[in-house]
Amino acid sequence: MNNEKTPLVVFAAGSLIIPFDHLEKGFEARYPNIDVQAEYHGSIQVIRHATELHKPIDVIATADASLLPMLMYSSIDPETGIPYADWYIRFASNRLAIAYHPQSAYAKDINSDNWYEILSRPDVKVGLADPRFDAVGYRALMTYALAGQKYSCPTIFTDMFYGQFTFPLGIFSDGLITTVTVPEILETRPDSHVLVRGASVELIALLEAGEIDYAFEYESVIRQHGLKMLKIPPELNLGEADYQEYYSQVQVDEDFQRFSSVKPVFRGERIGYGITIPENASHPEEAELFIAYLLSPEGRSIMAGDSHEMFDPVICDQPEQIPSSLSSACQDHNTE
Amino acid sequence: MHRNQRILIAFSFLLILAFLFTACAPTVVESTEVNENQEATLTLAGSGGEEVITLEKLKTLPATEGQAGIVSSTGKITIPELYKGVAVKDLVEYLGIPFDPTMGVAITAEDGYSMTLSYDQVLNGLFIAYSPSDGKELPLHDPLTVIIAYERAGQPLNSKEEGSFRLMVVSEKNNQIVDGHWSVKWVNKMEVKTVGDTWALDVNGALSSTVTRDSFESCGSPSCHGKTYQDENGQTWLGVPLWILVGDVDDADDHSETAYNVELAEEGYDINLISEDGESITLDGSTIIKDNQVILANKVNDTELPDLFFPLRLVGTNVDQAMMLGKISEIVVDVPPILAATAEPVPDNDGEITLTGLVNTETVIKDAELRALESMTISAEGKDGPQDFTGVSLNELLQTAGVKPDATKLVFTAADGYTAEVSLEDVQNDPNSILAFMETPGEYMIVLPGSPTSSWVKTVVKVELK
Repeated sequence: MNNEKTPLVVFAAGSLIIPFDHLEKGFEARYPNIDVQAEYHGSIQVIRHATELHKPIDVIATADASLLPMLMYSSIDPETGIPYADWYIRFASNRLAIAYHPQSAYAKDINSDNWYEILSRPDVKVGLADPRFDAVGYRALMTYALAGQKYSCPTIFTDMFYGQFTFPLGIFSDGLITTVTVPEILETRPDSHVLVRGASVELIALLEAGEIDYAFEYESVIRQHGLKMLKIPPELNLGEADYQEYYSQVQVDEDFQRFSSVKPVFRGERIGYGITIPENASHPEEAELFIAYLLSPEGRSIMAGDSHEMFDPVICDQPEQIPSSLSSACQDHNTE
Repeated sequence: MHRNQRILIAFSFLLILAFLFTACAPTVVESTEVNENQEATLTLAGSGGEEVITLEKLKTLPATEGQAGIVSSTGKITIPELYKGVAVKDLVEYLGIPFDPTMGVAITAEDGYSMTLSYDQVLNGLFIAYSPSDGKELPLHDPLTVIIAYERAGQPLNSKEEGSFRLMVVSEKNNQIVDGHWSVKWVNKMEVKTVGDTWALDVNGALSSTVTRDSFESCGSPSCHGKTYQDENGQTWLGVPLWILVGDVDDADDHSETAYNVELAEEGYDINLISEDGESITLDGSTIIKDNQVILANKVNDTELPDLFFPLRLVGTNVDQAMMLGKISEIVVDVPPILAATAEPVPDNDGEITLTGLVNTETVIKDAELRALESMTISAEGKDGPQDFTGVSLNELLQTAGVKPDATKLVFTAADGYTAEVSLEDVQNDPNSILAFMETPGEYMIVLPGSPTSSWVKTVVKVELK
């Protein structure tokens, strides 16, 4: 029976697993002739599957919308000679927070004012998603860089990370922008109290097993897994519209050529999830239906049920390129 | 670097041709057609250049096979299968490149995607392993080896789905898997490289010298000549005072307590600092005499400088903002050059070493007595790479004089007055700490494999306990 259905290949960020799983069920109930085939990866890998591994994908959703123009607008599909994408919709936000459990070291003492001091203690095991693979990872580094400014304590970053890696993370401020540099090899020293894992979802497992005390995660993911959550101030959580300018004072650079065409630079901004349809999608019409369903009241309700806040209205980049069935749902990028 | 780029471009062109040939071949290839795998090549690169080897050549190297599976970043598990290939560490050995912890192995795929393996990953299989049944992390696991695989389950890799070569992490049994990030498909290049860029500073004056990155970092450590400066953004810069670098080349005396010629500096001379971009600034030598707040910094916030200033920047409380030149690659001290060093000859120490300070008995050991002690040969990584040193155990030597309980440090003094201080505990914990015999009879050198080479004092004449 499945053979009669139209397969719709959706590649999405790992932090969307739970809400998109629910979305898939609702969508397939609405459109029984479409079979959603979802795969989840780190956001960079999601895009790489389309642009570098040339996999036919119908919908791409990333945890960092800025990756879409960075890696898809600039990549040309050799089959067609045109970019893999020329529009996206910024549809949801999130906030960074600290996940922990009741038995975490200093769980009774930690609060939104002293978290950075407690996390820097050598007897506290802190999980960090690898910033080379996972947006949570480089966003956590942005939070640390911003913390130095918020608390007027420029050593917060080095207090946390100095001596933890065989090749150190760099941080430098020119007075306007603070840049964190991620080395080519990010490997912790044997006695480090920082544990790096390839994806933030692996940190959830370590937290649940009591192997680590704290980890940076998205608020939605912490709630979805029922972990304890320490909120961090709005200047640092990268989720507040009012602090967009404040967030733009930081960026994370990868100190090596990671892709053939791009040396990634991640600029501080309010967290925005992006979604698009690659130009080589096999089923673009069904893909439009999927995105329309996500943006519909029903889709919004599913996302809200999984603690994942959506923008209202959503924000479009290059709205003139957006399929007409979707363009009515969004306002222009520049009028946010 | 540019030479390598040219080689790479030339090779890339050949690869593109090879790729086009492959891409234009019929999609259904029967046995009468050329097997794509016979055309497959892997580029092996290192400091000595590049070598392109065929699959057939790769198969002649010692093979490693084992079970390999992966878990994706979102928990999707690919159960282990039997892979066969060549261990990356064997390929490093094949290239004959000395490999140390400052190095890595970059693995690049045909699409340009690149990942770099660390020293410990290559040599010791330092990967996190997960259970293939539930994806949970294994606190203890069997040994792992990273290989460039060319066969899966006894068959050539499917070149369409994973390329002719694939990076895989294998183990003997099928009871563990690793993160999917370490499974790179379509591998076409492996490069053994130093992580981070190497650089050197040319310092020219009466003498000429080239200060390598390692030497500069050693000299610039806080325990040696390193000085710091805090800028208006609260950032700490670390480096070597400019006057110390100038002192190495301002006259014939290049490395002693009097290396810096104060009288000459007071007369005044130009110090030109030149950047890689060709920009330059000029300082009057008389304005920086023994000034520890005019620093050539190689680090800020404990890491190397950002691209804007890398590798060296002039900073300091006594440096105007406009003079804070970055990307410095050369210093020219405007004093007449001399053809060869005419420094005072090293005083004849009559081949003896003095043990003094917090010892039970101040002791002078003659050359003949030293050579009568049991000698040992160790291999250690010096400034010029791995080297063998023969000498006597430093700890045994200390025991002959007796170490007082309150001693915590050792100070080594060279015949030219150069001194270095190290922790006594560090020396006592390292059985390979030796007083090595130098080529010239009666001259000795401290070799401490666990300590910076700045403490490996040559022509040492005195060991003082503090």
